[in-house]
Amino acid sequence: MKPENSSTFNNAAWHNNPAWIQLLGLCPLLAVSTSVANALGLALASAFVLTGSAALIAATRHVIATHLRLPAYVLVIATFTTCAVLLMQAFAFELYERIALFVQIIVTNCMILGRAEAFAARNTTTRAIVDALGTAMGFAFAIIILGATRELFGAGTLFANTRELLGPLGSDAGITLISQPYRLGILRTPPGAFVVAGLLVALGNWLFYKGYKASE
Amino acid sequence: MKPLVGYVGFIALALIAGVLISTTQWLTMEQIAANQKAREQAIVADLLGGTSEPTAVDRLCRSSVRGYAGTIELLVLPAERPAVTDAAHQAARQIAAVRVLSHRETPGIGDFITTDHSPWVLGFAGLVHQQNPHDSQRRWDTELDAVSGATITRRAMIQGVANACEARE
Repeated sequence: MKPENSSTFNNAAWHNNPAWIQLLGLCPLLAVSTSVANALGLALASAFVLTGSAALIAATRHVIATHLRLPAYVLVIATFTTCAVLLMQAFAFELYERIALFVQIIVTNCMILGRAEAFAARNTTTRAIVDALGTAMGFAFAIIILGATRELFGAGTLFANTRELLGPLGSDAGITLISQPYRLGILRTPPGAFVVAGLLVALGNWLFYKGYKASE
Repeated sequence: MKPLVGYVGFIALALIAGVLISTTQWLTMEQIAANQKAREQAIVADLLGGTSEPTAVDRLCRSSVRGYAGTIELLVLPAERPAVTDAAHQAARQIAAVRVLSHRETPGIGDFITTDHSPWVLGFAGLVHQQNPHDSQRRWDTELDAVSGATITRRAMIQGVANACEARE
């Protein structure tokens, strides 16, 4: 990777991590992170929409009237979201049935619209794709850690239902690590999501982002 | 940039979007239909699970009702209708089982109507259809478990099942 691309990627995935630093896209992040399988599904769908729309927005940035750019972003993001919905219905049906609503509302995800306006519309297509992949990575990283934490302590398992997404590589039942009486059922509920997300953000800030201010 | 270019570009973008969506839809159409059919068959198999008689599948009633967020599609299996005596007549109006085929209720709140999320819908088994759907709804309202936060979804389910029973009469 060219050095400028690698710094773009690092910035997007790490220094401006959408979940930890920018605290964007929290609605799906909290709602879907009940298990690793759900988190992975949403992360992949978000990555697809993010990268596809960043590429198309960057490629057409010179031919769209400035005052039409927001409708154009919404159009492009809605297009890729619809495609993601159709593809998931075709190839990961069971998983889609569980997280359907949250795949559909990727269209309103401010993380994606934010990157479109702040980055894709001002940079070359290549850089926009690198930035989108970085952002998607950062989002996936955050949501999968959150999903794993909630699944492990809430349901006592890890990687349950991953067969729906990964085929023979995944498993149906997952690995059971914590037995019934020691599970914290509240972690699987929406309030539990806030508690875990808050603790993880605090932990992340303490370990990695001490005294750190988000760059532009 | 000439002003016109910005508008033409936008229209071109809209066309690209249209092509992308139609191509994806065309490519995934068959697979999605097959997935939906397989899911429906699995639900019917689950519904008939308790009964061994082969005619049960003919008694299945479909019903659709407006829920909190869109249509709920239901399958109702009425109990077998025995020879007509007074006591048997009562039994004939019983429900054997109910399942939801599809719905768009709020995840985590209104999705208790599917067996994946809650055994609530199993409570319909054994309920008796009254003289008319209105009486059934009033009676079942007290007989089924209450669900806090999902009054509309619960009422819609009761209404849908009562309508299915009435249609069968």
